Amino acid sequence: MSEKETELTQEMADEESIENMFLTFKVAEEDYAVGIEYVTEIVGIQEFKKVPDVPEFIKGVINLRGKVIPIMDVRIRFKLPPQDYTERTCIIVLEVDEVPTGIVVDQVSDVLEIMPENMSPPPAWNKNSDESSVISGLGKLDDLVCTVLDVGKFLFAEEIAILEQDTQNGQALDQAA
Amino acid sequence: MCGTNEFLEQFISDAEDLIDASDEALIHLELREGDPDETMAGLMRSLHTLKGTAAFFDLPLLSSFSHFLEDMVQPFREKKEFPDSDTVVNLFSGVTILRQMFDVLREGRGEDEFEKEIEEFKEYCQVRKKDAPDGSKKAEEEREGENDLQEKAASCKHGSGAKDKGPSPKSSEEGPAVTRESGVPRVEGPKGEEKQPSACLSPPKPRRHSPKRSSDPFLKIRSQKVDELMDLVAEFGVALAEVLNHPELRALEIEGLEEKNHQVEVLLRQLQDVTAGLRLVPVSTLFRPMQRLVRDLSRATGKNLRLKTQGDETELDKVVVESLHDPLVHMIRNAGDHGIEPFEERVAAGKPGEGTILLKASQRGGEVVIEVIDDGKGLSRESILRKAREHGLVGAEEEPEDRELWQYIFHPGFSTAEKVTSVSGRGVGMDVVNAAVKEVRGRTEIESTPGKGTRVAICIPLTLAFLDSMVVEHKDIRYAIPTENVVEILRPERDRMVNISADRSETVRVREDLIPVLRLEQFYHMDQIAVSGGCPGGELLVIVRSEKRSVAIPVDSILGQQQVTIKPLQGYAKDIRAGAGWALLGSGETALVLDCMRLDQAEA
Repeated sequence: MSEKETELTQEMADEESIENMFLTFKVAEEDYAVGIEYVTEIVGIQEFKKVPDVPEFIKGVINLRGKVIPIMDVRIRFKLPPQDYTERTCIIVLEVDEVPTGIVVDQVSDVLEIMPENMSPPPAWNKNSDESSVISGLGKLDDLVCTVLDVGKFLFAEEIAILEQDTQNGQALDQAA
Repeated sequence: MCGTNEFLEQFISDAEDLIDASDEALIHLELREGDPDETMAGLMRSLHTLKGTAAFFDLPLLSSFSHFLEDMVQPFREKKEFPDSDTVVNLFSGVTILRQMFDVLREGRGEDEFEKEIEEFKEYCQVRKKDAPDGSKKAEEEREGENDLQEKAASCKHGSGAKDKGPSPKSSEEGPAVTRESGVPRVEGPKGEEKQPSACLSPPKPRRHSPKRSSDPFLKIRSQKVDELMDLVAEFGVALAEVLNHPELRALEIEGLEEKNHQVEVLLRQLQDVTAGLRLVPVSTLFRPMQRLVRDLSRATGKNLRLKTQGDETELDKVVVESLHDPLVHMIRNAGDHGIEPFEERVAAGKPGEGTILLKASQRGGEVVIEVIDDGKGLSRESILRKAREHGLVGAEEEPEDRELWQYIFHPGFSTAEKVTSVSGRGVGMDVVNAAVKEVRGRTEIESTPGKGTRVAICIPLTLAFLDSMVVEHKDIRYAIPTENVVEILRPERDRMVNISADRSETVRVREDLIPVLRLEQFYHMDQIAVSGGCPGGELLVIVRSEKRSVAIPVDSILGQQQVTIKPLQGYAKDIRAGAGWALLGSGETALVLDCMRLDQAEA
């Protein structure tokens, strides 16, 4: 099922101008986007091996062709209620500085181009929106607004307590659009 | 000595990388990009390594020439400013001569034919130095115009004179091509009219494309490619096992299938072994050439030196072995040159006249340790402290501990040698060690006792290698314990377990020993419930050797003993305490490799 999606991202990655390309996905009905340059592949959900001594949102690791990849459950990361995995649940493997991390999302939506002029800065009314925000902007598209994640911070920032607030704001804006 | 040839070939092959790196550094210096100090440090490291290794292979001309080039960079390094463009251009020519020398060496000829060319080059550079007084450098940037062009033209005249020997580029059309080939991007320039002078300045057509090149017995492969191959082989093995053991296929009872399956499995195992073998080599390949180095060092310093080796059969990743060659050369040179005292001094101190350098490899927990131990005079706290203060690394009032202080000798540009000798003393050597060790994610340790000697150790994590391990499962988590750490496995009776509520600890009595019990779920704070009243007893305990003592680890089950592939902990897994890496089991499943040495540390 995920093979087609893998192919799709591969195709996009091969093109020269991946600069404004984003992979969008859904978590709890919210739309998120990550820069396509971080995405190495998309695989179906598979069994995790539990590991000790990691944050709660790290569900375990998978062995993907000899690479052992920690898996983050985005719902837990965003402090959302957990949900049973469905056949649409996917793992998006993101790579930052050659370190791969897999994220579990409800479903992968699309690969889209978001031009810089359609990108708004993170919601300014958020008093906490300092450099620790994991949101790099809001992408406006014809029929939706998606929250563009700063992949490095989203994956590795230690404190993302402000996120709950941010996502709600994002959603409010999303609904308004 | 037939072995030497092999090493010489290796050296020539390595030298190419060093020369490429030098060219690259020069390009940065020419374009005035990046941090000049860092770039020059890199350039000097490359030249220093060339110098050292050339001396070791008895190539005095090559060695002294590298030394000469190093000297050209040194004054600018000290001032931490970009060298002037003339110096850079000269260095480019110098590096090209180096490259040609290696081309000639590769063809099996001697270095002597470069004697005249090098003399001329040196003479030319020295004349240049006198002509251009120091102060002119500050004005350098402003006068990039006419003056510069004139100077270039002048140097061009000489340049072509010096290069008479080679098939010199006569016409300016030929120029740019040659220029590019030698890695000199000299097309840029203030007035866009520099093509000609730079063409003249550029060295004779490098004799690079000699047919001999293809007969290089060493195939240099990016380690990444080998990694990819290993990953593929591992994945292939898992996929194949799934196919071969597929229940429906099994049910078919095809004639001869069993036999073929077996054959495929044997081939797969061979494939795995060969792939693994690509990476692992005994450290003796690293140690052997050092014998010669110490012999030559003995002659050069007039001291009586002897090299002993230990643990030659310890296996290490090939990439790691390669990257440790240069650091080891520097460490041994330092030991021989600075560590070990002259004969008379040793005898006067009641030591044997002959100084010993021990080169030792061993596996210690999750690390391979390579040590250079000398029985010399030890590090001088006084002079290192003075030097560290001069460099502003240590405040005037500070009195760092020995361990901390010794680490400063790895600092770039740090040397306490009174004078710069051809052997060492420029403060580049230990810098090389540090850079190379960091590259393989290792660390260094120094111990020194005045009058007794110095021990410098490089500790490299085992992350690239294979490991014999005991795979266990506990509370749904799989762990791999290195077999060499496992002392015994037992299932003690309940009355052997001693529960000490006073400090919430448990101890097990094994014969006459009392061994502390370490529960992984507590170690990792996964189980909030403290030891509840009595111990269950009848538990499976794996007794492992840790840093200072043995500890008993209760496990739910033991899955068996097997050789596993080690993968590094990355991302969120990086901070797992006492984690040495991931183990990839034959089944494709993963387990956390426990670094038993650190289990105890964290507990204490």
